[in-house]
Amino acid sequence: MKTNRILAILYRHLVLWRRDFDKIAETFWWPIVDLIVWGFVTIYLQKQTGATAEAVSFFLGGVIFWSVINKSQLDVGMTFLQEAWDRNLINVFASPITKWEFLTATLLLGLIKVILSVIAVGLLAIFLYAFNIFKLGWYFIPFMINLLVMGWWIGIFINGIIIRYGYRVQAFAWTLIFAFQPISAVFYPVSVLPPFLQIVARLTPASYTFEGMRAVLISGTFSLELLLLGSLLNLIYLVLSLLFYSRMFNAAQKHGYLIQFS
Amino acid sequence: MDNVVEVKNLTKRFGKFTAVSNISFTIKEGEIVGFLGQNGAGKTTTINMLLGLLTPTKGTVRILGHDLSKERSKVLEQMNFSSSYVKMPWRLTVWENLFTYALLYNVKNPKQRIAQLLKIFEIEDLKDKQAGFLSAGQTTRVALSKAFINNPRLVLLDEPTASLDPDIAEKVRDFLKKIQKEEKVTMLFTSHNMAEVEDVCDRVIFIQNGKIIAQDTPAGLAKRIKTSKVRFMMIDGMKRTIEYCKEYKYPYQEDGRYITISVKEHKIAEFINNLAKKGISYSEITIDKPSLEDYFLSQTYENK
Repeated sequence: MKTNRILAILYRHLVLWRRDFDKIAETFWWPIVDLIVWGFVTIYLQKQTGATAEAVSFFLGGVIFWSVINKSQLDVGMTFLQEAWDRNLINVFASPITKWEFLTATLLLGLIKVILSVIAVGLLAIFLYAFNIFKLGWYFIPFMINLLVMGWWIGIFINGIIIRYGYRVQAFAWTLIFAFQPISAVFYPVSVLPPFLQIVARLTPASYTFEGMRAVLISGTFSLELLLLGSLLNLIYLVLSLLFYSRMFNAAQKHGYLIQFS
Repeated sequence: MDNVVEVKNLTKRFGKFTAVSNISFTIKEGEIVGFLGQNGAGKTTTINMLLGLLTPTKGTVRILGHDLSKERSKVLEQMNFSSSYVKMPWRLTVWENLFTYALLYNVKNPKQRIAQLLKIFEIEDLKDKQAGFLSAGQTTRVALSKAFINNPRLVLLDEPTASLDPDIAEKVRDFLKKIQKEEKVTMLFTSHNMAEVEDVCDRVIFIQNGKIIAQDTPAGLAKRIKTSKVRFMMIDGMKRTIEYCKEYKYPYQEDGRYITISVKEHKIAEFINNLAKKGISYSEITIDKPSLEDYFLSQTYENK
């Protein structure tokens, strides 16, 4: 793994990110819009139900944490697609860069944007709604890592699918993630789901993270069990996604799918 | 090192279709080899296999002494390519694009190297312009700068002078010949400009239907065509000349007062003598020796 090649991809995409309003909007605009909408929902629920601020604050926590998964997965697929849209894939993959170095660059790119996005949205939540996500303290870090890793493996799977099936499935890069939202317990506990969906939710690492976050925010208790179960599932899916990506990339080299993008 | 490229029994099949069929060739250090063939002959598939973008169905590629399938990154660090059909990120400036590739290829002193290349290809004034706003010729020159950013030992050039003005195209050819001579850079070169191939290439590999059908010097391939084109500006006897051509089955082309006739080289003297005997008079005569283009065309027609 050579850092210069990873830096090359990071440099090229960060220059583009700085220059394109679309890309800046992806990082800041949608998370901020979500925050504002859910912030007002929180205020409304407080007034209607008389619940304490803590009891409904998980909506805002959910919005901020969901943006971590969404942003981290988005960059894995979008970085590859951006090279394809620019008809630059051949230049990139005819260079010494390996598929793993390229993937690492896309993961880091997602990480950079997630950090920027969470800082912006987190600060705005304090300013607008007096909700401080950082009051989770040290628990904030393992929750963040788990969500980041889940975003990564989803992104890696999607990237593999795009490499194999091309432009006809490119919309997966920004839509497939929403299939995970209902089963991730972002805004409600797993127990409200129908029994068969509860099973599916239990196989989704994010459900453990969001339930764990809610427990800390509402009752101040931290469940190590939830964290470990989520982490274990993440690890399994991450390994599977990497195997899938490698297999799809090799198939693309065998059948010429990479060249077809250009 | 003697052979920079060693291709052995290379084959690529896509389902039942065979794009490249069992080809073998070598390229020596410092050699410029033209890789010619009609569209769909298998040139691009071969180049994609040499770049590691496509896995061969069968056969081996050794570049700079390394097996490409096993040491891909090590090989690609020392080579590069340019194609007028591959674009660069259009929202990045020329300098930003070249800097990205300098990082990818781990170029020492990238800023200095970029400045050198911008000067060589006369695009210094374009360095802050976004790639998407360049003309076709300017894009080609940026692609060439990218192809030489890492001082490669092997360069694959796909139509390197496409879209260039003639004066710039000549400068590019001079640059290629210069680095071949001074730095012993090896090049595989595709072009539809046969005069350019004759000018630049030491040797030509001709591929058709996925198979190599000839390997020779440009002059050697041209010599395989035994027919010359004899062109007359007629004063008197155009009708009789045409009748004579028809009678003895000489292909001809009439153009006002001019007539161009294809004649086997060993029969030119006899042909001219016979015209004289018929009292045909002309004021000008030119004899065009067969060129690489004639060879290319003859193979194209044979294939049809």
